[in-house]
Amino acid sequence: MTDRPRHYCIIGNSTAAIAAVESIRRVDKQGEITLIAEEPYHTYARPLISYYLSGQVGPDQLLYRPKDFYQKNRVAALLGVRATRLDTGSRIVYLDSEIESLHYDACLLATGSRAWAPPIPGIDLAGVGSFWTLDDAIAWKRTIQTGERVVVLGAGLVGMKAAEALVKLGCQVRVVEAAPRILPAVLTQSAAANVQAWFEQHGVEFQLGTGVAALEGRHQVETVALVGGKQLRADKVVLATGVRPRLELAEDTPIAFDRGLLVNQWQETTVSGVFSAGDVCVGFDRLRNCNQINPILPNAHHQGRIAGFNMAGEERMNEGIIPFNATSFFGRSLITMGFSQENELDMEEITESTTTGSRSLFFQGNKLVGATLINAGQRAGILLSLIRERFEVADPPGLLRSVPQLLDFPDLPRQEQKGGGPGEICGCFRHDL
Amino acid sequence: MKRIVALAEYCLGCGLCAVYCSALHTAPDLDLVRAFRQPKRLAAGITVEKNLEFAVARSCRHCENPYCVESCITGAMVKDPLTGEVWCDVERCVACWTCVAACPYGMVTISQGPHDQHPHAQKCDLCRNLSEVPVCVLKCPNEALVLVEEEGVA
Repeated sequence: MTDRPRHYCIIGNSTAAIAAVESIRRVDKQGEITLIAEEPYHTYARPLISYYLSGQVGPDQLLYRPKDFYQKNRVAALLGVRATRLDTGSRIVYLDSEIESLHYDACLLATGSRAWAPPIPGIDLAGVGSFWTLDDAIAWKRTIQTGERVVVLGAGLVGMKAAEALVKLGCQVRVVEAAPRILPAVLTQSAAANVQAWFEQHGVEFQLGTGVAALEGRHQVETVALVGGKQLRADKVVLATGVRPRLELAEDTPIAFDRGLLVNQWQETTVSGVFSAGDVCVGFDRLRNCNQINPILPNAHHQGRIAGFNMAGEERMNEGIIPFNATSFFGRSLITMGFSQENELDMEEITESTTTGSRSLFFQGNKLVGATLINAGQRAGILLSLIRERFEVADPPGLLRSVPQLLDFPDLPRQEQKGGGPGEICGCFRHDL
Repeated sequence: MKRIVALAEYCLGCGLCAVYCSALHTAPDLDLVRAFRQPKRLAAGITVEKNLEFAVARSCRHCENPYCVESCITGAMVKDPLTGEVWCDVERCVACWTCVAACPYGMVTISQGPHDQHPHAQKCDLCRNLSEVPVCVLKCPNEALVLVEEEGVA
């Protein structure tokens, strides 16, 4: 390494990018950091756009980091600037701004994903739009009126959070989903029915197992035509039909990709000096023990942090995270982790329900591989830790008898990180003072 | 940084640590009766785990790379770069439960106090702004909780 300060180029301004800035600065106080972001906004918490739409959080609460973040971390933030081309041979990134190009020593591609719209007739009509960026949320907030009929296409997490926000705005909400249940990627049929009922109590109607044939109207959307002939009247249509990684910068480079950018466990792409993290990359999945896209926020942060350390020359390996999701709908919580839907693998489900919620645990033999906690999330992280460590649970049904406690798993391995007193993650805290 | 260490060999399992933690965070004048008669009371940031053989009080370890901070969707959960304390800015928290699901020690919960507008993540904050020495350490009747100070912030 030379004495010249290193120059880091971070492309992206969301979770993975911010985590990388923070870890670079933990190691390298001198290097120069330039952050390039297409969106003209201070870093914001993308999952909060539904809370912003409903009015539950204001513009200032959307900030993912305080207003002085770039200044404090000495980041030259080029907001509203697009990186147009990457020359990995000369290590130059080209921009569509007054600064036309930048040389980098290490570059992070944290470009995330963009909303994907299905190729159906009428998708370009006015009143139809996606729900992925802050601009999307601002546009919906400006145009949606109380009492309007809004059809949400897609019952994944994005669609269901949008539906919840629209209910709070006083809209008449219908959700159309091609799969036979809501949240099909994370819930079993019975768990999905349970959560669906929360929405139905708030007047939301569902069309499940149904495709959309066309969106119809003159200029403005008026009707959603379902496969099979049914017509739904609609003043607005919110597309929550999934996202696709933004790979365009890698397209004319030797950087390898399939569904997303390929990275190793150091978060480096197939080209030296170019790293990637977050929704755009196919990273290590500890649950499946393979590489795949895990488009969840904790994963983006984890990968971004690892990438930042490695970019700054401090070697860290991504041990992989277990996919999990937590959210709340109408004040009730839903947590899923690991394999939590029935057609994943050959596994056994045990469930305990109370009047207020339910807990379902999924086992392969004695190993916990997944869980769904509906309004029963106390100490849920202990379960996630059992999945992560592939821990042999001596008494699987016993896990449901009470809220989990660490004391019951004295052999659960220590975590890699420091912290706490010596002698645990679990078991006896014999501390030598 | 400061850290609370629990000594299992001295823990009686009485739970007073959790009682005082909840009381102080709910009503900072530490009036137990007043705190416990509030219609809403903040959950304790310390939990006594028990089995047939022994008991031990557990609270946040203020990890070097906290899973709760990593997974926080709003940026409300932060690790103070100077003191190492991990704490939640409740105004920015939307009670999504992600930190609860992320903490391998089960040391974050969702709670709402009498003065809170909405539920939020609640955890051990080492009594920052409330007490020089954490109240669980002060009130443990058998000195099973000890405050240690270590170099660095991890």
